[in-house]
Amino acid sequence: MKQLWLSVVMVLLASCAAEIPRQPTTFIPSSEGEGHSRVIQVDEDADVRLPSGYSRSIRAGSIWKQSGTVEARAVYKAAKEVFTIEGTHVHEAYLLLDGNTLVGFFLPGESAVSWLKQKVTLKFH
Amino acid sequence: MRMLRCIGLFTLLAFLAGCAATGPKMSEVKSTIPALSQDQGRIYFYRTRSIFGAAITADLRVNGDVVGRSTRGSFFFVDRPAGNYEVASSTETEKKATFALSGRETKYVRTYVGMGILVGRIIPELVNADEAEKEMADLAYVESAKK
Repeated sequence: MKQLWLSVVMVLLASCAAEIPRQPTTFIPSSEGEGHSRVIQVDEDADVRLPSGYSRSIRAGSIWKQSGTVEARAVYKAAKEVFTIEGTHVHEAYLLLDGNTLVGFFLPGESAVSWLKQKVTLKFH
Repeated sequence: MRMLRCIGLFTLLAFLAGCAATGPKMSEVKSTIPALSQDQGRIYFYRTRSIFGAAITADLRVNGDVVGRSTRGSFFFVDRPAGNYEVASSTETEKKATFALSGRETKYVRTYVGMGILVGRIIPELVNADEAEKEMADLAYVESAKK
C-alpha cells in the first residue's frame, strides 16, 4: 500500500514542474549595419541549472548571433537551431550575456527575461 | 485462453491503428504549399505515430485561436504575421510553448502525449527544422481549422 502511495506522489511531483520565473522587459534589437550582429561559437559544453529545477546544456560548437540587448546585456539567438528552456511550459530562449557570463535568458515570445540564480561562465570565440 | 488473448491483442491493435490520421504524405503536398510572403511566418504542427496515448487528442490554439487538433500521425501548418506567439493545448491541464516568429521564418511544433495524473497530457515543444522535416515526411497532412 505504501508503494502505491509513493507511486502516486511521484507521478504528482513529476507532473508539476515549476514555472520559469520571468519579468517583462524591453528588447532593443541590433540595428542593421551597425556591426552589432556579433557571432560567437561556444567552445565547451555548459550546463545551466534553471530556476524551474530542470537543467539545460549549451553545446560546444553551437553558434549564436547577437540580435540585440536587454537591460544593457547582450542577447544572442541560436543561429541554426531553436533553443528552448522548460518549466511548466516550453519557452524559446536567447542567451543573455554579461561579458562571458550567462546571467539569464531572454524569452522572445513573451518579451520577458528570466534571470539565473546560478550564473554560468561561457567559453566562446 | 490463448485465443482470447489473440482477439484482445488484435482488437487493441485495430483500435490503435484506427486512431492514426489519414491523408496525403508531405511529399505529395509539398509542391502545393504556398511560398511565404515577406511579413508572414509559418508554424507547422505535427505528432508522430507513437502509440503511447494514441487515443488522446486535443485542440491546439495559437494565441487563443483554435488552429487544429493534435492527432497521432498527422501534420498541418498555419501562416501568421511576424510576432510573438503562444501555442497551447488543454487536456487535464494546459501546456504551452512560446516563441517569436519572424517574416519568412518557419517554426516547428511537435506535440506528444506526456504522463498526467488522470489522463495523458498533450505537450507542445519546439523542434529544429532538420529533425521536424524528417519526422513529418511519413505523416498524414490534415487541414488546419479555418479562421
